[in-house]
Amino acid sequence: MFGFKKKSKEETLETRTELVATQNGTIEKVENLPDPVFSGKMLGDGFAVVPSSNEVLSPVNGTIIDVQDSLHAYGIETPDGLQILVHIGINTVSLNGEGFKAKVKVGDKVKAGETLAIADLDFIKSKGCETYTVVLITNIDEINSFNINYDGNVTAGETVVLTYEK
Amino acid sequence: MTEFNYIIKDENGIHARPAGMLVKAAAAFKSSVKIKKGEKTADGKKLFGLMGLAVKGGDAITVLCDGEDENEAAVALEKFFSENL
Repeated sequence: MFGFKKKSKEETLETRTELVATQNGTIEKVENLPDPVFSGKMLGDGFAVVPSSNEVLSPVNGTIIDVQDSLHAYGIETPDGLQILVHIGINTVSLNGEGFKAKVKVGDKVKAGETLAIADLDFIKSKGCETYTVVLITNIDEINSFNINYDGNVTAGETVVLTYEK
Repeated sequence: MTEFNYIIKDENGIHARPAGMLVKAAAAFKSSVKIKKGEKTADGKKLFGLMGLAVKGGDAITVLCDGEDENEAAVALEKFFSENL
């Protein structure tokens, strides 16, 4: 089965009306983030992962629509048209890519749980940046309702954090 | 059509945070808002279009506003750029 992984990625991706955790850790409300653009939901609504693992996984099935040159932010469009922003760390644009390795490029198709990037959390902290990974539905008007589970520890690529209805 | 040129002063350019702020500023107007960098043009009301332009400090951009409130939009956006980027 694993030998056919590349081929299966070219097939139509299934829409799952849920977002999984990008890393191991816990979940924080975006309202509590130390950046008014996130806490004010100017970029969209969703959740933040307080991470304990460096590998950042895709929260959804979708197509990569943006990889910032500084490798700290990724855009993914789901088959049902949601545009998801995965923003690793706060103010991490200032690191100019240092501490990040991108594992995808624009146009790639990913499944929920596949690796987007590797982030060196210790390095990010050493530069004075917060390590929250902020996961936002940027076109939040496209959905009718959503629910976020803030309880307990989450497992990267497995724990469903957000479910939505279109 | 009303347009203005601007040279980005913030060294990090139009990354997620200012892109989100710009989308919000542009969305306040009925006019279309396009941001042009070289040969590439992005919709100023779409987050990932803007982020995909990869505008950095020192880059020259042109902002094009087209519609019934294009003059007000251009004035407001020029102010936005000078205050934020």
